[in-house]
Amino acid sequence: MAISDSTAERYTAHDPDVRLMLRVRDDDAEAFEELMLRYQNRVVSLLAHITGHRDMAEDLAQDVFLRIYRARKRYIPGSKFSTWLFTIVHNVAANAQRTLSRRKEVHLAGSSASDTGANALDAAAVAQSNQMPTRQLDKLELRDAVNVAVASLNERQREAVLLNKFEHLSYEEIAEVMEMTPSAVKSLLTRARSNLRDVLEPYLQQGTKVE
Amino acid sequence: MPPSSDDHLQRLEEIVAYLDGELSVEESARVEQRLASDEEYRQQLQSIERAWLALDQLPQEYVDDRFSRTTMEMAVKAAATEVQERTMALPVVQRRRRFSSVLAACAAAALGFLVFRLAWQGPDRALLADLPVVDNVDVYTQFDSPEFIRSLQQNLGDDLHELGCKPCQAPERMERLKIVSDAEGRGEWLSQLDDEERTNLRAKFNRFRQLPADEQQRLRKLHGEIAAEPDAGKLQTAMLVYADWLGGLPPARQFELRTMQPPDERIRTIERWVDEMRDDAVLTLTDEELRRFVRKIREPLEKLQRDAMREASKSNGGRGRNPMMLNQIPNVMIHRVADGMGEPGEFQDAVLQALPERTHEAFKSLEPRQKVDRIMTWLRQTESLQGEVSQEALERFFAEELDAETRAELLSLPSDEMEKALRRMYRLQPGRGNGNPWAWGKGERGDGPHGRDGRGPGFRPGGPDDHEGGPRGPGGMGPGGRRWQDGVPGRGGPEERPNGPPPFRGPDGRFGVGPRPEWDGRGPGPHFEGGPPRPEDFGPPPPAEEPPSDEKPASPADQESTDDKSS
Repeated sequence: MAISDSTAERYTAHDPDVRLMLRVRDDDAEAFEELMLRYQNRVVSLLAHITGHRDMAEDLAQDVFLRIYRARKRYIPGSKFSTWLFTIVHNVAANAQRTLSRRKEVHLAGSSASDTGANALDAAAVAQSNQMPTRQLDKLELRDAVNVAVASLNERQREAVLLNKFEHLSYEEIAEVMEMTPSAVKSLLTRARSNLRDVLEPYLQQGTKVE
Repeated sequence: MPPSSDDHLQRLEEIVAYLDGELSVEESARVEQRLASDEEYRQQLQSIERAWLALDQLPQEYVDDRFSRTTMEMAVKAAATEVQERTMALPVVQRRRRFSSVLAACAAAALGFLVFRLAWQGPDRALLADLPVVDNVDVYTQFDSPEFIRSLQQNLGDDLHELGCKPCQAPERMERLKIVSDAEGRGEWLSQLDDEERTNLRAKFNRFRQLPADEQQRLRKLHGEIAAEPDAGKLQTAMLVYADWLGGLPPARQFELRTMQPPDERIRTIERWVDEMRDDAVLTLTDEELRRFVRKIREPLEKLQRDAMREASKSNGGRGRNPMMLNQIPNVMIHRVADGMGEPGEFQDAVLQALPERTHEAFKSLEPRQKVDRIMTWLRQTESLQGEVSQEALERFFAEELDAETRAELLSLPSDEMEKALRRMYRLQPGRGNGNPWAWGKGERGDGPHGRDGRGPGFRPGGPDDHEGGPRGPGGMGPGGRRWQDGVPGRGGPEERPNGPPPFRGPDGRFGVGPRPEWDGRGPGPHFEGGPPRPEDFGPPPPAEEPPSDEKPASPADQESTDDKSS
């Protein structure tokens, strides 16, 4: 879709990251590095949670930044920079998921002991949990419960939730990133939030452990 | 009539869209009206919102400096390939005939590539202009004014120098500060840096650039003010020595000092910690002293155990051995240590006889509980000298001697880092939370944690990835994680590490060493329960004479290597 000059001007005026990207288009290395520093942790987090593989998230994130670099000359500001970036993240994550599916190695986020660093000593901690302050116990258990709840979502729901919750993208922006209509995003997020509620509510209400 | 599933979904969509701010003003008003009157609707909204807020617990991932460095390398490589491909795409004849125009065609990309490479690898004006501040950004962020540094220098004088200079990074950094402060020589100095130094400097530069503009300005001004003082050299040395010392402290203690007001209180606290660390250093035994200690203390310790069991048997109505009694050795030990002051033959005297004379005064000055802690630490250290610490001992130490928050912090690490940290803590454990640069900086035992730049202790989850640089300044590192930090208490705080996991700290800001759970004297001590090394844990009694050198346990270096392999 052609992007009008006025749209490009509007985003250039309002989004500092768009201005940085325009400098990248002109081969400004400093600008590229700055964009990377601004987004690297967010991109890695997003990819780690979407794919459920922290170990591959950094490689995928590097792929994202390289794609940005390679696409710099074709860049036209037709949306917020972050929306454009997350579209690339979406594509990279989708490719990775396809590869993983082919290898039948799909793991749900947070469900793998090796991903969460769990080991035999966890058992000792649990055994000692009666010595732990309630606050700390709650926090750790809540984190576990949230990991399980997020892992219970399907990939699209998970991605929409992450973009909405942590990147504050609107339905329209999520739709652009995920190539859907805004109303489809609305339904997707509704189902996702309902699922999250169903999994987490017993824990949040009564402290029942989430399996 | 109960709502149909379509109605239910529609109602959920409405609630979710309302919570997400995706409804029009009129629609929002309708939802609010219904919320006021419909209890079930309100509860549904609250449950959806509760689950949404719980997602704040989802951890954010962090990358280290290597990530940006390697990505930049890949981009530079991609740029070089681009130029090459454009050149190769032209027919040979055309390439010859229009050689000059090929250059022109590639100029944009080639120039871009060169600029790209130079900007990354070479000095740029911004870096050059701020070089002294950038290179010492970790140091300058510790100070508010030259007055504080002067006060520090006057009050602590040689003490601080002595602490900071084991091992001493300060003279080297002072020399470097002189060079980078010289506007004429900076460029040349920069051009001579090797790749690793350049990368480290680049990381500092990025850290500096991510500080708020007014903080950057404050640091520039502070550097200028210090340099303008008549005793600038002394102040700068004190500043660097202090930063060196500070970098050896656990992150929480660094933070505590950074935020402590007024400055007088800060100075007094530093003085107190310096004294404590001096005592801790005196009480750090060499391998040889540890072996001698355990040899001499074995018999009194066994007697203590027998006494304890006898007492238990009595109180148990002679019904045999109470299995819990072994757990109460430290309990009994505390009484013996407390009661036995100055009475020949009592436990404390036995301990003193087992210790080198230089430690006597410092040991006597400890509280009974601290004395027992110290004895237990020596016993543990001796155990670790004898070889690999067993998994069982580690697990027992983890579960029973560490406080809940320390355990939780350890569990947040990748399993290999966790075990390494745990092994270090198992051996380290003493002191009052300051760490001990003297003990670990000397490298005598060789198995202690190596802090940043190898400057003594201070647990760094980042380990080898943690690049050169002392304590982080307030404010952490900026924009990378702000979205994920929304509404997550404790994240992004002043002591937040820019990359890698959050700092490790105990509930009172101590690193790993305590405070132990409160012990009220009733029942088995909470942290020694079944846990401390017992006399029988140390195998058969060692020979009275020192073993020949070739039979001695593995060298410190071997020890570390064994630990690393096992972890």
